[in-house]
Amino acid sequence: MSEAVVKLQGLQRRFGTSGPVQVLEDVNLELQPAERVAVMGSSGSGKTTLLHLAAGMDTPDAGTVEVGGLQFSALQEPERTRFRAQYIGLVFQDFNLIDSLTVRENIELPLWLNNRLNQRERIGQLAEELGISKLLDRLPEKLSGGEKQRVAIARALVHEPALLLADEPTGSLDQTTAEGVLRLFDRVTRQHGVTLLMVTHNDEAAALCDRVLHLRHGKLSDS
Amino acid sequence: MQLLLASSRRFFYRHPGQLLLALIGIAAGVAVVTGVALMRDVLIDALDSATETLSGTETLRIKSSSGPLDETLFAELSVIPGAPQLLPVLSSRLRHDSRMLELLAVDPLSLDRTSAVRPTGPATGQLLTQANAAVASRRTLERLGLEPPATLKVRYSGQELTLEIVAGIDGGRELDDRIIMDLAAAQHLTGRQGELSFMEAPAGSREWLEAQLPPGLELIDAGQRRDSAAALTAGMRANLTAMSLLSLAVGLFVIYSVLAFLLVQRRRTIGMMRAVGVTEGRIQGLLALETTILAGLGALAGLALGTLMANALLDLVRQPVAELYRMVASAGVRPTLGLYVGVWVMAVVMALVSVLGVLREAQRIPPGQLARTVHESNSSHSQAWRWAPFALLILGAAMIILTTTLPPVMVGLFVMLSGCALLAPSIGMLLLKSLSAKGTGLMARATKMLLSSRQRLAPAISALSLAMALSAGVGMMVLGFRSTVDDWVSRLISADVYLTVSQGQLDSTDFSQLATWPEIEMMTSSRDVRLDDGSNVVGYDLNPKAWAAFEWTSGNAHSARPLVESGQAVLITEPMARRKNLHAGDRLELDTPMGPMEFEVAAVYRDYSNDRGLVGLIGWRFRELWQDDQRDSIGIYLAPGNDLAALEARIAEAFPAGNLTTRVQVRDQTLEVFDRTFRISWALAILVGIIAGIALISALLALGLERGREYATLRALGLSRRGLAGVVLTQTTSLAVIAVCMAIPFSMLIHAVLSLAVQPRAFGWSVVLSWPWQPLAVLVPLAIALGAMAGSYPAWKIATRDPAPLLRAS
Amino acid sequence: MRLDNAGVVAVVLLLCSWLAWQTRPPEPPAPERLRVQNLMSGETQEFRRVTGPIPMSFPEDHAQHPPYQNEWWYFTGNLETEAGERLGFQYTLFRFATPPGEDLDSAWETEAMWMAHLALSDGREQRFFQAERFARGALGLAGADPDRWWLRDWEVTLGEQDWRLAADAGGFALDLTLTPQRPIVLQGDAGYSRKGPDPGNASRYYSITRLKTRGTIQIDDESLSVEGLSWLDREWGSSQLSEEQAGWDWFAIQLDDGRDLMIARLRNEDGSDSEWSYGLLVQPDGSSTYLTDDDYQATVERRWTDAKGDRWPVDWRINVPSAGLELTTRAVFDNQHWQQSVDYWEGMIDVVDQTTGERVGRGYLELSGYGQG
Repeated sequence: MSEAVVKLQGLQRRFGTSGPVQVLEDVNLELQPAERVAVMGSSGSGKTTLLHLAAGMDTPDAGTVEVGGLQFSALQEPERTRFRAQYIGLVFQDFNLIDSLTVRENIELPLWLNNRLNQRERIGQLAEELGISKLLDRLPEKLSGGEKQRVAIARALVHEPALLLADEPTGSLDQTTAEGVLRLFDRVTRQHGVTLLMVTHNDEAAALCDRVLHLRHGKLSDS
Repeated sequence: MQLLLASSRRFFYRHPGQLLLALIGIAAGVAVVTGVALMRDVLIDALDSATETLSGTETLRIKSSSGPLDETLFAELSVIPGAPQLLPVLSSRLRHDSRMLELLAVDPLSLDRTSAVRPTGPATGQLLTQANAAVASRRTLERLGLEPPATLKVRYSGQELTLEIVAGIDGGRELDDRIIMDLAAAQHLTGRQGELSFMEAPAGSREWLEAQLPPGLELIDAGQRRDSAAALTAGMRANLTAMSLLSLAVGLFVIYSVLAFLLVQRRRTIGMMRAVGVTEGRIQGLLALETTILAGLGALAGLALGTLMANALLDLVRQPVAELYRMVASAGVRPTLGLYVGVWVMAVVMALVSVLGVLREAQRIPPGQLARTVHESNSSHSQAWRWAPFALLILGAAMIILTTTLPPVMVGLFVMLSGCALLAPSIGMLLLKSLSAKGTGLMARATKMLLSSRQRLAPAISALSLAMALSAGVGMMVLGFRSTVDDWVSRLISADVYLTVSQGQLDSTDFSQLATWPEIEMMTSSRDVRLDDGSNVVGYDLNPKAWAAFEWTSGNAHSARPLVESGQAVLITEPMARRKNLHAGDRLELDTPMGPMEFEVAAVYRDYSNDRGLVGLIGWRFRELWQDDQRDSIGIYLAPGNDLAALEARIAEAFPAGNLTTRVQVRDQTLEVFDRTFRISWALAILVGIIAGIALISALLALGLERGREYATLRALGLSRRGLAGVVLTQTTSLAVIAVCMAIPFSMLIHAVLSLAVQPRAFGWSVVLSWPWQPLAVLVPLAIALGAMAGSYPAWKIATRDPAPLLRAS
Repeated sequence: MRLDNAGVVAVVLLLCSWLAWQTRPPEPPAPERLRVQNLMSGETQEFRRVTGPIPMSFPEDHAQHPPYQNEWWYFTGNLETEAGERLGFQYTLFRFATPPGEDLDSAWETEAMWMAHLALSDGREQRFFQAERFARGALGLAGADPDRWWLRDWEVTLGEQDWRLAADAGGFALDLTLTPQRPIVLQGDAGYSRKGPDPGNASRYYSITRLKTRGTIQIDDESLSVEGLSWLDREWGSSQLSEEQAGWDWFAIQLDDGRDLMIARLRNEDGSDSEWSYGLLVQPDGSSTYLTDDDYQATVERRWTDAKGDRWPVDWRINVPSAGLELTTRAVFDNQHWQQSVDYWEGMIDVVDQTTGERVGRGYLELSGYGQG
């Protein structure tokens, strides 16, 4: 068995200063390479916190986060950021595209951050795969929700990350669009063989995954 | 409405910085307007009201049109049955250190017992008997740092006098910088025996006086005195007004930019409100109410700030008034309720007008626009609208070019600045685009990220570039004007050394005596007489070199010289020509002691010494008409091969009471007076600069804080902290750069309008347009540094924070 | 939420009140009062003092006496219009010498401040007109010669027999001719009028106690022909009053039987009458008797309270046993109160017999030293 891509052990996270709210109490999770895991839970159950911890954008109060064999707590913030740029792709519920950059420039950002602008041809390939070739020179504000999310997926994959973290990728989309985006998401993630950790409360989204976990009262469980 | 208000209040709670900046922006603009309005009032009402404190308001003044009054007139009038109570006054100018004081000598026994100096007051006995006893208002004593009894050393026309301040008296600002003495003692000290400057009579005594006054005397009422003070200081006040209007314009742009930005920030909230059924009208009502409250509070603070500012800066205005017009203004401003209410209402109304556009914008926010993104709706701007800035620029320019008076210039400038303000965002965005067009590096990406925010940035760019332009433009005008004056005086001063004697005791005998000295090649002389309207008549003795030193704006030396030397024609200065609309060849009537007389205007020459104008007559004719043989100064030209120092020594020996001034000293003194005159302009330019700084920082801070989510996304994608800080700093700095880029041409425009239109119309003289670079050399690096500074706080704040919270779906 | 509302309101109020305070009108200086006592006593080393009788000569002694610190020319009189309406007048010229100072090279140099008081009591409507003027003794603005006493255009001139007084105060004016009915009487000891323990607390003092007066009085636009009797007092000295003396009550009474009575009651700080009080009784033939404090009693009958709360004894009982006089004096009306630089009461009085209650004369009363302000 190869090394786990993501290994979360005994994670705890509290928020608030007065009477802290325990969001994560004891979370343990391992993702094997190319494994696709969905974490479901109701609003406010801590799904997004879990994702931010896995991306190294948040620090746990207790427990360890290990991604790609690296212990985040052992890394300085700049190293963690650099690691995130290389190793992780992110998809957000409300896309978080940079409005002032064109679709192409948005997708280009991870390549730029990884000094891989010489691999720009990947943008065209991905756009082809995701059916957004014609949108490349447009600004995000002219796009529909589904198109935006496809751009966001392209941006998350362009630098060939080993781990893809997705936060409610269909959360802001209507039923029909969501279905289309999900099918695409399923296809490209399989094709690229990335490890996927997706948090969602959408059953159809969760159904794509190999494993579905539930986050309740700060703990993960299988059912 | 309660709910809506609560919502906007909470918004400000969460953004106290923006609230503060909005208030500061408004307050700063209002402060400048208030301050200038208060200072203007000092230049009219308080310039000449000292005697009112002594003899009552609305008095009549009896003056002679030719010099001082004979004191026996007072005695003669006073004993005629039915005579009103007259107050004899002898006014002299004193200097204490650099401060000009007015010595008001009165007869305390001719004062009412309700006057500030009472006939039965404890000091009267001392005033009547002690040769140097004086009193002054407690305010004045405080300003002089004296506690009576105290000694005050002053200079009076070259000699030092020691006054004993025996008491402090009550009295308001009218008595500021005035020293009051008894007539007997003052005449004794100043050697002005037999003279009175004027007499004050009660308002109701006009009829009696008109029946009794001998011919040659004038009766001037309080209104006429105010009018003449107003006319005298018109140029100066116009200058101040121009500055204050420009500052107001900047203040309004700041208000607009702050409010527009606040609206943009709250688009989402407003969209939600509309979605839940709040009507358009209510939203507009809310915004208008918000504006009124913000502007009202800010304006209130501005009134207070302006009052403090006026008092602090007043000396900058009083000093030149004292230098140029020989009038001592009061040292404190006197605000009126009317002025306060007027400025406050104007500020609120103008703030409301300036946010009309914002209100329209608010109207266009569709209900339920929940997306955080801002749709740039270019479609709403029609083609015609696109040309509006150019139309404004042309309209403004036309108003300036096609008129001849001051008010249209001010309106025209305002219109042109509005055009600039509309033009600024478009040009700014173009500049930004060109900055970001090339390259894929951090800088290019950072600037590119700004491009979509035209709507958010436009007001800030306008306000910023205008404020900076104004600061720099005024600075350029002053420096350009200064170099014009420098050129003028350097050229005009052709003699090697000038001889003056305190108390004007040089006369024809001295002149002819000097003429016999072999080491003197030639000479000039001049004698100045002030007319009632503030203009002067000068009797000149000129020589070829002096003739060559004039710079003609109409006519020339060649044709003018024989005419002037024949005594038939006069030379006039440019301000006089402009004021009376005269050209070479026109005729001018002059009030001479021999009665009114007509002269031909031989030529018009450049002059910056008197904005009321000068009339130059050839010396012999002047002496004949005015029966005045004295010379104020004699210009002496060293004969070749002689030593100037030796000549100076000889002159000093021959004229022990004389002062010798060299060419360089004359130039330095002239420029010193110039600098003092324009210190207020500098102060206001700096104030506007500070407003610009506030606008800059507020715009950039808001920008940095507003883009938090975008920045967080970049961090999430893996941009390092340092990289992100770079992005933020690049963005703020580049905004500052484009604002300053636009400020440069705008400042040149302002400089040109001030120099070519405002100066000639306010003061009557034209200024040679030059392009001093110093203000820009200060402005550009300063703006860029401020831009970087304003970016560093948000950069630091964003970079040190984990991006996670900002990324959470809102 | 409420708290910060209060904060904003507080700041607004603070700003508004600060701004309002800025617009306050300048305070007019408070008019100052001259205390006559101060002018009459105190430091006088620079001036000559009256220490004993010196023969007087006329008209020379009508003129000013510069070596002395203060001096006055004082007319009072009771007049009647043709319709029998009562009018009273007072015209006083005061000279207050300034201490000798440096010599000043100026025509305005003066050795004295001159003050003139002109008052008219209009008995018809109980109105009291008053006007005050000052001038310096220079440029011919004020002075007193043997035959002319003037301050600007208010002047008294001496003709062959008569004095002429002409003074126009704007709202009211007098033009009177005053003819002496009695010779000049010298007060005290041949004109040496002692007023205190120090022989220098004295003045030189003469009077003409009865002058027949006729002329016109102008009130606003109304011109009245008048007739009546006047009294002239002339006095000069330096530091007349001693330190303890607070003021005086002075009566000038012309009795219908032809006698004239002057009572000068000097008052100590504690309100009691000073032993230096004095008086004078003049017979119709011009002969006079000096009265000392013991020769008469003067007691207050009634006091009038002015707007400021000062109480002025306007009605009196005066008994002069040696002359068989038991008189009550009554102010013709109460408010004849001077409120210019000097705070005093000077007005016309009726004189009645205490027993019969019949009117037996008229006169003038001067009350000084009662005003607090």
